[in-house]
Amino acid sequence: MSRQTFKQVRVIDPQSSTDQSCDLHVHNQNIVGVNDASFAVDQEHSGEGLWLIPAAVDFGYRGDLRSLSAIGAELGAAARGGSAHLVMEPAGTSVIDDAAEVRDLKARAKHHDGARLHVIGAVSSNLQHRSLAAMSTLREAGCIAVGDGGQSIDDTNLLIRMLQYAQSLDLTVFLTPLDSRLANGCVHAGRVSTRLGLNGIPSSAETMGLARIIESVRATSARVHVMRLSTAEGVELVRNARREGLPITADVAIHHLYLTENDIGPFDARFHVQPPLRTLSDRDALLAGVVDGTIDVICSQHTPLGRDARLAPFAVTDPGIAGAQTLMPLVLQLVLDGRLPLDRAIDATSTQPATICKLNHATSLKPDDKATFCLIDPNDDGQIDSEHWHSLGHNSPFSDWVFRARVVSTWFKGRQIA
Amino acid sequence: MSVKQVCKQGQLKHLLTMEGLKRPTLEQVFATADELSSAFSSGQCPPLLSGRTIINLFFEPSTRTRNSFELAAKRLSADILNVDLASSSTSKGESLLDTLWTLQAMHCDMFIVRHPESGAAHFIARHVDQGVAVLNAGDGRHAHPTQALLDLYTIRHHKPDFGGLRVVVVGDILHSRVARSLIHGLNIMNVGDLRLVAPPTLLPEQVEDLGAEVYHDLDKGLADADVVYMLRLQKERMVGAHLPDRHEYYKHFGLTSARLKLAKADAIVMHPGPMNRGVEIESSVADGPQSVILEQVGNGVSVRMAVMANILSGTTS
Repeated sequence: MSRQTFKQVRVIDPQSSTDQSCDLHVHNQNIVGVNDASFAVDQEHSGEGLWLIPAAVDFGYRGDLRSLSAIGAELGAAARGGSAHLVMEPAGTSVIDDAAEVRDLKARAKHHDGARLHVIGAVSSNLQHRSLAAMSTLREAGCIAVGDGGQSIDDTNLLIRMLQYAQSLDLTVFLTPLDSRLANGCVHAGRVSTRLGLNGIPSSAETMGLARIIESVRATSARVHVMRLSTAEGVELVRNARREGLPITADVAIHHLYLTENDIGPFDARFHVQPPLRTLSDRDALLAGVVDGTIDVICSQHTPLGRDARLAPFAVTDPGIAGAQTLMPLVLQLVLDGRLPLDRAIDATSTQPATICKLNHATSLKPDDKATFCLIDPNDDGQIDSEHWHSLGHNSPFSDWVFRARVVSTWFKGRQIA
Repeated sequence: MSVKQVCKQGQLKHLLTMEGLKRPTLEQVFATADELSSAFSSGQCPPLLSGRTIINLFFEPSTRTRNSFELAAKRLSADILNVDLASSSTSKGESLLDTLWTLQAMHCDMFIVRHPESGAAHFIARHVDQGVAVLNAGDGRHAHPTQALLDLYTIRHHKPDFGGLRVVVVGDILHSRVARSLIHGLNIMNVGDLRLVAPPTLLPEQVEDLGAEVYHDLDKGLADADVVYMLRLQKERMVGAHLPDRHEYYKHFGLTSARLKLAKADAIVMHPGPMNRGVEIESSVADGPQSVILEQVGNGVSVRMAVMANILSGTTS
């Protein structure tokens, strides 16, 4: 029997409109109360100067199934970044279209501490986008949704059939807003692509793909989650679609709220991401979209890469940032800078992603809720030193940043996972 | 991550791009090229690079540029090794670095690199040992700085007052590293008026931001030009999504002797070579009195000698 008290901690729970400094008591898996002098405690944790907030649910993990012996490191990185749940997407060679594979993945992940792994299955078999994947079987095997694996479904007829089929199974479809014919590039088509002589991906690659998705949702009423918005125009399309009442949700990668094409400098491949970093005004529009709720979710799109993936000229390198461990430090930096309200930050990293994936996840911190939360030091001003960097991927432009907010610990059902 | 091509004292360590260079650095190259060119003409070229090893590392086919570098190195008494990797499958990073390190182990002082990927020269410069110089001989669509230097050197010879010049660059700007480097170079020299003439399908996004005015009509663009710079149109671009065919291109963007009359009477005509006669330029113009195209080729050797000498004189052998 474990009875724990987090002493004098600032508990922030937008869902129950709680923001108070108190002693929070946990018994086994559950929060049992606050400021109860009669609570018999086994273990006390000092929470002085710390925030206690709902733990995050991080979307967009792109793992390599061939090297999944490493999955423990990535689940650890996510927990260190404030997440209790890490959602894996199909991508590249990791197609996730097979029920046995899903079961195996989930079983292997269970052996590790750190965040809990959830899996999105492929929407098409072998992610070829030629025929439907066995979505029902994937759901039974534990997939929480289906997705296009970062590759747009160019055949509109097939897209509509997929949405209809997924809808009949009550599955949300995670789609990439992209017109692949316009996406033959590695940076935003603009000033930087011109200067560096790199193939650009125009903003219209996103909006054309997105417009097609929106029309398909209008035609089917299927529930769609749009992955990784990157343009101001894309935010506006989603805003209008939602105003109309279409069942569309959207996310943005945290690096798109910080970085722009200008950060690429002379070919710095740490900034090679997909979708590409765009302009300052895109970045500002994305943040405005998060603030007003057009963009439901902020995620890290955690993409750990081996060292070799970056040992090449810019365009030939693999895109992606190993971002799980810097998710909450970066999100909370926006809060501390006064650019994002704290309740929206928690909503966008915990409540909304949990709702979209229908996770049985405690996103509030009332008595009887599960004790799943993280402790944050909002006055840290420190770096993540390399020995505490959990991910096997070192491809991060943030790894040497000084963060004001640090994740002190992350808890899942009363158990410390980071 | 970023590599500095000029050290604090203003000494050139690498030459990767024209972007960011200062005018005195360019003037220094031109002055050295003048000296070396006249020394060579008088049969007394100094063995400035004797005992130095230079490697021509070419991942893309090239005869002209490679020959020009080779000759430049030999005239300065360097040891030069030509490594032609265009036909091999060495285009991915890991093997690129393996190639580099293997050659570096043979103690070389400078790599002259041509590669089909933009940014390859920067990438290589990041990974060579300290003291080994990298000279970009063309990377993807990004940069071809020695071409820009020899172009500026040639213009300077005929029309030294850059501030009063109208320069017109015509053709496939989108895919051209020559154009990008030339635009930077002309702006470093404070050129009076720089015009780019191309169909919209062969212009990159927001190219005006590099410091140039865009025209889609060659006749308008050519008006009162002092320098007309024609770019090569690659065969694979002649038909497809960029252009309907080469005849239509020639009709609108080919430099004919009739069109050249729209420029100033003493305008010079330039081309980086190799030319497509009858596609971007009429033979009578290419071989005519206003053409300085062969002079560009000759100047290429002098300017490359100057760049090598300037970079390697800053290091010890």
